[in-house]
Amino acid sequence: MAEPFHAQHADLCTIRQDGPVLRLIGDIEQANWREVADRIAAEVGAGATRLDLTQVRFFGAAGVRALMKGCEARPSGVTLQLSCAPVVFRALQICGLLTMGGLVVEAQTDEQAPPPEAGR
Amino acid sequence: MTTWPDPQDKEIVEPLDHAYEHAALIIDSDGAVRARLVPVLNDLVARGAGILMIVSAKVELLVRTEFGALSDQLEWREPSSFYQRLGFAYEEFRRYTAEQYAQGRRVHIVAEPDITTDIDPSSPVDRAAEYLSYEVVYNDIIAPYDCPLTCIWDARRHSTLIIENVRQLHSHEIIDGGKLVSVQHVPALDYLARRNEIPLPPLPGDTDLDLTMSGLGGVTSVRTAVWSWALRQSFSDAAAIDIVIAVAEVVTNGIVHGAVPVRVRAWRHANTLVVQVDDAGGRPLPPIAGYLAPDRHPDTGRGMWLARQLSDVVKVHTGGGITSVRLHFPYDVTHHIPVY
Repeated sequence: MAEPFHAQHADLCTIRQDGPVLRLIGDIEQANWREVADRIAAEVGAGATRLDLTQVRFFGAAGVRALMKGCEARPSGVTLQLSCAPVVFRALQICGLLTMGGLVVEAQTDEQAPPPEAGR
Repeated sequence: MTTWPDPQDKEIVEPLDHAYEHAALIIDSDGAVRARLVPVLNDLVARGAGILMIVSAKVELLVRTEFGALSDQLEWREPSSFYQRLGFAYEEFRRYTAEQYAQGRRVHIVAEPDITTDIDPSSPVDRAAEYLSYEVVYNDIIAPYDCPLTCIWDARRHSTLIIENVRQLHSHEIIDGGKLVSVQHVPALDYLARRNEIPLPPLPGDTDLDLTMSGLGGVTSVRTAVWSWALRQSFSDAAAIDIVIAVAEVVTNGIVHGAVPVRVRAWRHANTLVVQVDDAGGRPLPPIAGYLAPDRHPDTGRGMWLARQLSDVVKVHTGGGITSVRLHFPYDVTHHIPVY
């Protein structure tokens, strides 16, 4: 497992690589989206093929931008699998991004969901 | 300063002209349904056109009575599946027509906006008036998908002012005999800009929340405060998260595109939660902000789109050096999960 994400806004979002899975935990917002995007791009460029977003608690326009920017580093021909918390899936759905080329977007099932505590 | 166009210049253009057909069909009696809608449907059925009906139970009964077994050739949908939060309703139509277009289908949609059901009579906003902002955008947004849209507005349920605006905001009006009359409608940008010039109603003397931010570092605390407040108002967790995202987007826009300090005030009006975000930039928002579905470019702005989709009504005004965005979350509508 890689070192946790250390950056100016590390308290907002922690990013860990676990084999081919990149796990994001926390909030993505205007204050940290660039750092998140850069980290996703670096790990996806290095071979990560799955993004675990099931523990992302806040995700809006900045989160969408971070995800799209980061996923641009996807090597040609590689499909990324995104497992999404409801808040992530909802934002992508509203923005019409559930069917982006090269991405498979899945909603977290109820069994996988942690107790509701988002928003704080 | 935008200006209104010249008075309407109506012209009979029968049969259909070549402009995109977004027609108003105004009724004030059951007889009007028979005189105006039935001939339109007769013509479409005779031509074998695909027809989607999203109308009230009363209009459906009238049409089924007139058409008998033929009415089964029409596709019927529950109005509640389309008419939810205003932004969702708008987007549902856009996505439906885009999908039909992609499949090579041309469907004529007959819709009766259901925007008063389940709404508290003491609602702080006139949803019908607000929905007209989306109606005017339809003229441009749905046109490329070539699915004519006929909107039924019942003059018995809406004010004279609303009905007059309905006439101005559609590209056509259907009159007796099913005749299609071209309307010199108001351009969307002009209409939306004029709407934003209307001052917001006064805030209440006391608000539940009153927070001021000087930078992005304050956004997290606003999210926390708004989420807790919404839960205390007995909104579900999912609804509270919608409110948090919408508010956070507007706050972020105020900080990034406006100017600090950004002030957030929140209060409850009957069954509606209201949140107002003021920034000190004093620059008017682009009138079309939040009305156009974002494309797939990473740098495309999505904040106001999310805010308009996740809330029911968004009102905007700039005056006195302050830009204000007021978001409304009626309880019932906010707990109606979108289906698109």
